[in-house]
Amino acid sequence: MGRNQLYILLTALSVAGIAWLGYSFAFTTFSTKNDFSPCLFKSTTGLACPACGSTRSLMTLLQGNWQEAFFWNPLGFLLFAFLLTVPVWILRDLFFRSDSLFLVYNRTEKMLQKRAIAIPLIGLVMANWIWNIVKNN
Amino acid sequence: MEANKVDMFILANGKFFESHQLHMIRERLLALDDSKWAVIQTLQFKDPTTSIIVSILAGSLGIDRFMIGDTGLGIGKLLTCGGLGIWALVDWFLIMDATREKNLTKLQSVLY
Repeated sequence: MGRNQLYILLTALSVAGIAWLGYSFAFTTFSTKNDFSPCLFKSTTGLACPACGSTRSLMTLLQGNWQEAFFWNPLGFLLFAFLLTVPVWILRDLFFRSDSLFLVYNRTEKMLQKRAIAIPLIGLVMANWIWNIVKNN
Repeated sequence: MEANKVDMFILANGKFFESHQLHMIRERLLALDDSKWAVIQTLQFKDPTTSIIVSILAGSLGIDRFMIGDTGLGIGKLLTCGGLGIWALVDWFLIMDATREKNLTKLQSVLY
């Protein structure tokens, strides 16, 4: 994937994420039964996916309640960091005609493919997923 | 390389590449040195049919992207419930060509 493709994708993800957050602030009731879920996995299987609950996590985090945010889904912190840094970074790269984010992305991808790093991370995601299913997010 | 070896390769592996690239691949292989034949035969390609099945079943977890080696995109899909479901749907239509492109990149690493 080229630099521009990656930047378009990341911009689309950020915009969609922020729009979805705005929608959720208007309509989410924090109950699994009443709320619309865009998650294909949950809609088909009825089980929570590894990322289910991250919207509620981000919402509580933005309200300053980080303990509750951790309970909904710890991945919310990661998404929060992503939404804070990536749009600014893309704008900076476009402004300076640099491709620093692209280079960092490629280096990180290489690093994550190493077994010593990948296996613990897969373990963490699986543990979080099991917790997610148990608490019925 | 001999024409019959090249044709054998194209017959066996044609489905792993985009059809419009097959001609270029054939020309390249014909011009290639015979010593590379052993390496080319041992290359393992990803089947586009497998990736579309994985994409339909586990696309919103990003497994399809992990499978073809796009680790970064896989993580992106995993952490966003398949991009709020939209990316997972879009990838049903993109994943086969993405797989074929990955296969071509793999072959090109030997060709050049």
